[in-house]
Amino acid sequence: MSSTTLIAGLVTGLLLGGLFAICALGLSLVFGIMRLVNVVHGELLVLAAYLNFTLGRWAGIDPLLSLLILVPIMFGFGFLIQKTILNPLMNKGDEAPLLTAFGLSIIAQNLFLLIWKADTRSLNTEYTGLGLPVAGIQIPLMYLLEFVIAIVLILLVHLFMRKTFLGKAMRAAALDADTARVMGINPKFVYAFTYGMGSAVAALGGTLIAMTFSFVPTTGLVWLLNGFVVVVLGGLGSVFGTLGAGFLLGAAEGLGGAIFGTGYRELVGYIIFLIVLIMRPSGLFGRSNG
Amino acid sequence: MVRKGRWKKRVLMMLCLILVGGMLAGCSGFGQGSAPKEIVIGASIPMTGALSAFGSYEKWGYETAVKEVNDAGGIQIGNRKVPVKLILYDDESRPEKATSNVQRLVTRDKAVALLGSATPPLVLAGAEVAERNKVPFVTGIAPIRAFLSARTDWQYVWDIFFDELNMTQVPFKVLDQLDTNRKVALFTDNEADGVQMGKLWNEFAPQYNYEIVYHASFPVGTTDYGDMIRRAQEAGAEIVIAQMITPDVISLWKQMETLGYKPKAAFLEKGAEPVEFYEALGKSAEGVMVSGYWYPFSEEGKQLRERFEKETGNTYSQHIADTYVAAKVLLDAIARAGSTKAEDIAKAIDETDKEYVIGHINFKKGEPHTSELPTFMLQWQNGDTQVVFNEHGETTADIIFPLP
Repeated sequence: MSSTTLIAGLVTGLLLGGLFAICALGLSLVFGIMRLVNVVHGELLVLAAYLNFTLGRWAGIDPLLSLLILVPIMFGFGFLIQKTILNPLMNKGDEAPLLTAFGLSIIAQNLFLLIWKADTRSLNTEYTGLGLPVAGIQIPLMYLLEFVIAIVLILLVHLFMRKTFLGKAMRAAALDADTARVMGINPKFVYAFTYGMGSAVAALGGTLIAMTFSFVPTTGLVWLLNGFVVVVLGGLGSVFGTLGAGFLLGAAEGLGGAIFGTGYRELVGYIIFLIVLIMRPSGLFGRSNG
Repeated sequence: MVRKGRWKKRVLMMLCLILVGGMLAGCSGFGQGSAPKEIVIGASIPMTGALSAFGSYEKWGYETAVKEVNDAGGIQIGNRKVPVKLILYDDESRPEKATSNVQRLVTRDKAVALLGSATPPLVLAGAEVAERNKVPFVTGIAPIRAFLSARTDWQYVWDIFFDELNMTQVPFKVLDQLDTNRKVALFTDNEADGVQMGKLWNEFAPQYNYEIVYHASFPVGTTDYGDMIRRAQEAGAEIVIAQMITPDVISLWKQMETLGYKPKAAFLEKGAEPVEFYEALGKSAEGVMVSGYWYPFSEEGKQLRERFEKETGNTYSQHIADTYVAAKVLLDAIARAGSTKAEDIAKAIDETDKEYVIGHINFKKGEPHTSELPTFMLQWQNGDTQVVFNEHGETTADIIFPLP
């Protein structure tokens, strides 16, 4: 094994970590604001992939351009799910919304199957197969794109949360919904908006997954589990933590794959995950309850 | 005393009734000569999940064979023709689900015979249940060595598919006609057939004067293959041989393109076989090769292909043939047995010696409880698979080499 292979593994893993962060961001937002483990998030990613696939087939639109249509659609869809299905359950304990989300996930998988069949799909453009040679390492263009998008997206979300009224309202509702209500904030609207945001981000994540890899109706589970690891590793609800954890997990898997082989990528990722949790149970960027 | 006598009479009458009832129940449907209302057969197949591509062909193959029998009035059992009821359950591409589905077919649905799922992990999961319960089970889509790796003493299970021992040699035979540096990168997943075929390729490569310069083994569902692609590149492999499922092999091929790794020849077994492989990758899949065991050369084969494509609107796959034939072999055996008794059906299956659309089926010629399908090499050309190498018969196109 050459040093180039090692460096290439580390760099491409780090870049792929951007996609991990994008896919986990929606989960992180929903958990951070509502304390809801959104187990249907994987299906939101896959829904976006299928919608983009369909748009491409019908109108021949580039998958990234399609996002101009898809992101608002997914936002509205997520907003409606929270408003009509999950909001009425938010004060009925942790189990009711969690189980409902689980039910939605099963329904979604079956609907995907019904509408798009079980065939493996992928989004291909002229640039999805491109790679850039940088210092002797071939960097996949999509990985680079995902890395950049992840940084920009996390920064935008961070700014939104810090600088806008709605962002502050989201943080207030997350801290104490009852007090926020007294201050004139409507927590149910905030929750619906948050879920909408998570779904809009899933539009981006699902599209990038489909452009980089392939997908089937059940692909969501893989990315949901990966998302959980990133969210817990980064610290529950921490936006920057999600980015950092995505990069760390990606780099660890990339390096692990380069050293031990492809079969051990995830093993190395999970070992890092366990080590971090033992040393910092609240995650890399999470605030300790103690 | 009188009361005691009456009770004795009542108990005796009850016992008689129970005995008669039991005898009647014993005769209803399972004995030779008396006909059940319907013959229930079933299968657990991957309609969803990573192996769903196989499931769609399998469903059509099984349903078509059963429909043909029912259109002809059913199967003669005793003095009348009995319709066949086919029950299909989705195993979600998960072996544990295949196990519970087959258990359900046996215990709840009272299936008298069973058909297989797709790929060794799923097929073997169901086959073990059938074997334990002594219910006849015929399957395709399970390479013979992997099928026999689970056990060699099958009594109630039969397999119709290719033998990896022969199939794994075909790429080397094809390569012998081409100009390469004889360096091979081997990518195999950790499913039973991946492990088995990985071993065989490693064994055969030196015999054909090829060198396996890199061999990666990895779990199904891996997303990033960058490191193994780079190692294959570094090792200078001009040939790639892989055994992977369709979603994984699509990701692999995309990443090979991205990382600028273009071997001169690629054999992507299993995953590159369904048409969705080409649909997902488009022109970049041009020239990829995958072993085949059926091509619609014959008139009957052409008709089967046309029927599938007309009914489903999809391009055919060779899996329509082996699953259709597996069902035909089972149904023919039930008809020959004239009975729904497991022992009778099993005996009839074992004695199968007949020409089917996929070739001659005989379970006594080669390895026990298997009927081998001879293999050739297919290549993706303009969205269709063409036979480019065939030791046993004709080819349909010249080979594209090197990969465009």
